[in-house]
Amino acid sequence: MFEAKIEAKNWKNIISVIGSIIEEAPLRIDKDGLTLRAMDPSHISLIDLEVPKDQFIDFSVDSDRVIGIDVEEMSRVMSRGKPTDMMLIKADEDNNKLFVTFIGESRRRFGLPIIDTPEQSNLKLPDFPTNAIIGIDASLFKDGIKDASIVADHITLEAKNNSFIMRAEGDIGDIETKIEKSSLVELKLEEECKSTFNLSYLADVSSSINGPITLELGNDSPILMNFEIGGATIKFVLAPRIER
Amino acid sequence: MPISKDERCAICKGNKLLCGRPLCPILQKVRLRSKILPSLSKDIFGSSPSSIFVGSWNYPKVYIGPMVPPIIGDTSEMDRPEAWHGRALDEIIEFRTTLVRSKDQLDVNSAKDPVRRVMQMQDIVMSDRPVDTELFLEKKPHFSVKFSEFSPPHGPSEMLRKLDLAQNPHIPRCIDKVYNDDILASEGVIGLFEKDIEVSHISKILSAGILGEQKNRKFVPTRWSITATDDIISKDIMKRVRDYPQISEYMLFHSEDIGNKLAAILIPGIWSYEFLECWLPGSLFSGEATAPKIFSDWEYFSDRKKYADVITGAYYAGRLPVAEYLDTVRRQATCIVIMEVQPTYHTPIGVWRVRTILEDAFRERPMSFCSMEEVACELDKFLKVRAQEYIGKSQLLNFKSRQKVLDEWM
Repeated sequence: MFEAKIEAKNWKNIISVIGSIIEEAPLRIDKDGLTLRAMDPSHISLIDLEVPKDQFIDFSVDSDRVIGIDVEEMSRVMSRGKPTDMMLIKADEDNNKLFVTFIGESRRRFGLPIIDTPEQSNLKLPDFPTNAIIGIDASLFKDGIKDASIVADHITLEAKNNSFIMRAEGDIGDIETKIEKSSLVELKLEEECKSTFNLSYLADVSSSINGPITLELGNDSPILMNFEIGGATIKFVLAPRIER
Repeated sequence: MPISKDERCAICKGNKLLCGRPLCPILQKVRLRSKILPSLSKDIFGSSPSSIFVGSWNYPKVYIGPMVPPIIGDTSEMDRPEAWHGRALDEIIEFRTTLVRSKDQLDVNSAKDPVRRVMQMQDIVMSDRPVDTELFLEKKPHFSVKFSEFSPPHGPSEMLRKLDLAQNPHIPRCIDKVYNDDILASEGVIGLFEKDIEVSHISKILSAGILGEQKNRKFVPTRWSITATDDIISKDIMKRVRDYPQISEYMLFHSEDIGNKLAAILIPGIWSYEFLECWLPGSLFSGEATAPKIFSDWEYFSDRKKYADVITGAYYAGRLPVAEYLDTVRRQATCIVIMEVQPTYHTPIGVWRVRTILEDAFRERPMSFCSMEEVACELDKFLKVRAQEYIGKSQLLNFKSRQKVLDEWM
């Protein structure tokens, strides 16, 4: 038995960020809350998500379990929720169904199939050296990403001399965004560093973030983004692109 | 003395082929015109190869109507690209220009409450055999000699006054069923494909507003419906392909027809797809270029979110046979399709050729290789532009070679 109550808009945001990375999500549910750790099929990115029990209005589960959802189907259902709706999630595992009920002026119940998706339970977080930690407001970060998209499909992130630089070069020109330490939430610099990443992954994942993001950056190594969405604590790791 | 572009035709008069084409498009059109004009009148009686044309001009108030040749009998192959592989380009152009296009100006939404004439049109399209049809036109159909590089040759056309079916259409049960069903157009398309209805027939059915939820039925301009059909079917197949094991060696397939060479390279890896196209100098869309230019669109594992606006329809027409092949052998792979267009392809006749040529290539025994270098060697025997040029331009291979995976840090 698993049953939980949450604000519909929070769940919608959580599903939207998961959907930017994977199509099928094995949600692990235990007495502490809901977690998910999965790599996308191409092994370029990884998401680690945690929604602690206290972020739900009600939360009850009788034993640990994994519920597989089709993220695209779930987001279609979520698009029908109203911003003020409450939402009830209930698993009926005997019939392989997950019921999503919107509680507002009316009660609208959607039944979705629980899918069989392998849990990547022993998946570890990648281990890589970090030379800089950058705290940045999502809107500044998203602006840098959008600017870069005009000229290129990849972006170089660099930390040096008390500033954070987002730079892109393409056939039609180049773009640089420089953010001084004073405009950042934080900047801890052990060593100057830079790495290059595919823009579409960064753009997809950051599009639903509001609020601060903490970036852990190294030299030609993956980036780790820490942020919160709808009560969920999320770590997103993206493998770099190597320039020749 | 260099000759300017607008003087060229006047000086050449079709004799010198100054434009670099293998035949003069103006004379070609005149020849086709003289062939069909004598059989044209205000009333056309003939067997429609269950054919309809929906224009995209002036959307949503579009010109729509059945296409009927002034010929009675088995005309089925006149509008059936699946039967055209191996035919001469001129023969295919003649098929197209013999069909008289009748036109009625209708709102695309009028498909949901069909009046009698719309139902007649839909009956013609649903039939899997030609339907004897009589067109009463406003005037004798007009056949212009205007020639455009950018649009396929069109037969004569005229506004429709009255439409009569002289025969009951032969409608397969599965088509009749989707007509009466209330399901999404995409589900209808997939359902018909699974019942072995030919892709070209499905796109005509989609175009005639026969599919979709009853309240949402629309006419779909022919050009859009072709790509929509290719896209919907291949996306459905790709869902299965992504779960199959990867191929273990490099594979190459190729074939050519009417001046178009197509090669498909399958590379061990997760499902991804790129379409590279090159119009050789002197071919239709190469402009004044003297060196071959290569363009591409691609997708990496997940479905594309945006329309492939560089390659357009051919991208989707090529993805379908690739996905179908992988589904048949139950494998996934990284696939690079290369299309090289020769100057002998003098008149554009549509993206169906990409699909049928690749289908033909996949019918052959695959050639297997251990490395991309070996594939390139074999490709050099087939293509005019060096394989390394294509490989260098491949955005997908470039992405794969630079993008790291997380496993390195696990």
